[in-house]
Amino acid sequence: MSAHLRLLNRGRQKAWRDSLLVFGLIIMWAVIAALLLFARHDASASSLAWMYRHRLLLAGVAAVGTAVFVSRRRALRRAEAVRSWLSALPVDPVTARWEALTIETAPAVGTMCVSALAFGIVGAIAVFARGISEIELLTVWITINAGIIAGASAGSLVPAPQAIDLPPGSRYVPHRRVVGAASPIPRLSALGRWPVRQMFASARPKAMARAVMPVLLLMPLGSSADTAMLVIAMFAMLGAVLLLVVATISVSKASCRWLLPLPLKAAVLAFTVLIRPLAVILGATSVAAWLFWVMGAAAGQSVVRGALLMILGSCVAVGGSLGAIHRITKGRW
Amino acid sequence: MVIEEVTLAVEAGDWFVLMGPNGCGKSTLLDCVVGRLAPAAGAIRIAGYSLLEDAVNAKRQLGYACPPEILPGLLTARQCLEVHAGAKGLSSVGEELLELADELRFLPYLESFVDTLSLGTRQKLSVLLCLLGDPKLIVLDEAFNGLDPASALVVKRHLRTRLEQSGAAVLLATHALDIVEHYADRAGLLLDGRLKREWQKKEIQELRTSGRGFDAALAATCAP
Repeated sequence: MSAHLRLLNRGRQKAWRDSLLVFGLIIMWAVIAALLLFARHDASASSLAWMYRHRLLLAGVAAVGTAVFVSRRRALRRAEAVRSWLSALPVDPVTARWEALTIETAPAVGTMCVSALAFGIVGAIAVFARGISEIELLTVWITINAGIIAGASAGSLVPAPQAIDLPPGSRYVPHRRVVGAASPIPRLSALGRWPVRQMFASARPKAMARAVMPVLLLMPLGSSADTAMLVIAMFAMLGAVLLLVVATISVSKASCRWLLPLPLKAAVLAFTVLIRPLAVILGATSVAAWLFWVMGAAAGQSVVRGALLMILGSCVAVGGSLGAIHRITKGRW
Repeated sequence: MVIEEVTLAVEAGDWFVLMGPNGCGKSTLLDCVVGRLAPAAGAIRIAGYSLLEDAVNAKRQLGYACPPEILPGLLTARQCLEVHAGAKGLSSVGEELLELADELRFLPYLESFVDTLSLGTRQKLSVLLCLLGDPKLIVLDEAFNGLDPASALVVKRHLRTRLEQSGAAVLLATHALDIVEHYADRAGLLLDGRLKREWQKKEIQELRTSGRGFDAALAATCAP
């Protein structure tokens, strides 16, 4: 029903045009991939042989990944559905159950389609090129798909967790309370603090803990605690820069929408919003350069890496921020 | 086209109430007046300054109570006041505004982040931001939504006093007919993007003295 409503709202003509475009792009990429794989069919054959040897491991990874993804999507969609206006509609329970299953397992079905396309391309190459075994190809494809199906079924059967209302983002923002302060002083400096606060609000502890887990798991066995601390510190610095860049762009947009009816020039707004995040990016990338040096890189190389990170982060933040302000004001501010 | 052929003049000292059903274009019209939307055609002048040609001077004369959801959740109420006052180029926030904040029992929330405030408290903040710097034109979009009756009364009385003392003008979009009956000088009904009917001072005075509710007058206008 959701898909039908979406089709109605978007207009059938446009939906068909979009579908044709997507279909055309898929065919084009498939042809390009086929040509590339045909040119390197020896490498494809050895990769396939590796996959055949490790097919059970691949099926297990596919099953675990799909189960986690489907159960997470299920929890999020159900929390959304309760708040949706569609929840008030009298839908037959059987239809609702099937539709929910379709929506929740859509990524798994999509992955199966993509894998069918990829293996189909390799299969087509196997007809013309020697060294690729069709039996091995079919076995690997069936095993991986079986893993995906098992994972999707497991993900759908896991009891859905209760929906949680997230606390306000300001809970994670360090803030010094002013006690007995005088009347407010006219100044724009708070606009510069906003992106930094947004960065802290985005870096919720639970999300950060989950993000650090794969970093720790990817470290080779036998690594020392010092190395782990360095890797985590580097991850934190780069993560902070990434979050801050995203926060700066979104804050530029939000502050522009808020302050549009005021006699404030766009250049002043952009300068005020950007100056503090740029200083923080400079600080974070300096620490990242120092960490590169501690990790064993040459001093000059560490400085170059830090400077490149700073330039990249600053350019994206400034460009994104100015672009967001321009899009809202349409050049009339 | 959402709004067509709307000509509206709000004189100094006037309280103009804009009414109309949901989706008739009230907020769109106010968004055009405050410069959040650019009209495809026509002109908007605030205290003699054209909003399209001399936006900075026009906006200096303007106070706009934005919808509470636009307020920045990660700034404190004090910082919102500071930013607005800074953007308007004021030298201080003004004792009168702080007195109003005290009357609205808003001062204890000055150090709180906006995202922790209730709807009514955010609405109070929005009104306070709008009244910073003695604007000549005060534009309020459903500004009494979520306000408790006592606070709403304080704001209405403050606006009335401000109109009489400083000669400002108020343009308010609302569904609350009691404001038309007790406070407004003029009113207009927006239907399908056009200003279908305007009630002048004299007509509203007559309605007040006759004791008839404004809903009857509105129903007569809307009748097919």
